[in-house]
Amino acid sequence: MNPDLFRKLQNEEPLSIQEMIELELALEQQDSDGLDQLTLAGEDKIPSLAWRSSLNEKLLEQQHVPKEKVRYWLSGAAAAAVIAAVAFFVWPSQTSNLPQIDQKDPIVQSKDPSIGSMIVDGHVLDNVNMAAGISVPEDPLASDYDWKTLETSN
Amino acid sequence: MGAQFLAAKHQFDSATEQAIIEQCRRRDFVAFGKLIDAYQSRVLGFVRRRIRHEEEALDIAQEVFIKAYQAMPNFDGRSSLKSWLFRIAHNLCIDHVRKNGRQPQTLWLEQNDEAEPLDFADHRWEPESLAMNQELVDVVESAIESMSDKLRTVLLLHDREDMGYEEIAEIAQIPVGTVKSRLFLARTYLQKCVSEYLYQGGSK
Repeated sequence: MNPDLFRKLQNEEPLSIQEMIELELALEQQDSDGLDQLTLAGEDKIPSLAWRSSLNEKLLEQQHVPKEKVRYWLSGAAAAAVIAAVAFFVWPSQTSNLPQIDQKDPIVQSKDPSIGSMIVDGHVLDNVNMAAGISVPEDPLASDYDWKTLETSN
Repeated sequence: MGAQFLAAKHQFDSATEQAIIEQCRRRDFVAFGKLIDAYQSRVLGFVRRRIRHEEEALDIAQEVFIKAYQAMPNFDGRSSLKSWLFRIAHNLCIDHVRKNGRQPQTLWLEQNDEAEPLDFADHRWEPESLAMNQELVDVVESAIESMSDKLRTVLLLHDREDMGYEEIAEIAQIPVGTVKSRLFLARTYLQKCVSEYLYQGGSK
């Protein structure tokens, strides 16, 4: 082989068609010289049973990964379904325990802006809120007031 | 020759391979076991010659089959199963070398025109004789070890795994012409190492 082609091969430079042919011929010569047989000299060893056993364990882990993922998502979906069912069946029954406002009640229907109707409206609203679990803010003045003094003053 | 050298080199015929691939796609563990049986020695041999650290090579060879198992449902069959497995092995070896920051070895050959031509009529060149002559086997293995990884990859895939130029080009992601030039250089280097052993020193 000419030195210029050899240098080109080492530098992995592009080859002309003529050089490609020369390379093909050189490879065929190596084949016929039996050089292709040299690398077959060393045998491949069979991996140990410990290696294979360890590989099997790792593969089994891989096999279980998707199932675990599916189980995870299924459990999540099941939990969501249970919550939805509870919300659907329990929530209406709780709201049904709320004091029903009689829309035909003249007091409720009243659009009278008097103090009396405002107190009644507020009382009805407080009852609804308390039944729903919403605590009514405590009036700080009411807790500080000493009712005994009121009785003695009379 | 010890029992450990009795490597299973059997390969499936086309129909059997297709059947096993179909079973493996459905994550059939037993079928994948057959696939491992058929290729474990060759894959491990390939990785061992690329990664000289024994424990690392064993881990990478396992990783090849784990990756294959994970990717098997997506294996489209455009390449052969063997080619696909060796591509995974090649990529893992490249990744390993990169992660470990090992610089690829460069090999500058001098043209071997003046080297004494090998006498291939010599009985020592018979494959059976080569296998029996452990010293010569060691010389060949040592030569393969000392060449650059890019030459070694092409040499092993072509001469040991009997792959074609196009197949190797696809695995190594290089042009076919580069496969040929690397193969030529790798064999030339191997010839140089063996001829030095046979005619200058180690020959008995």
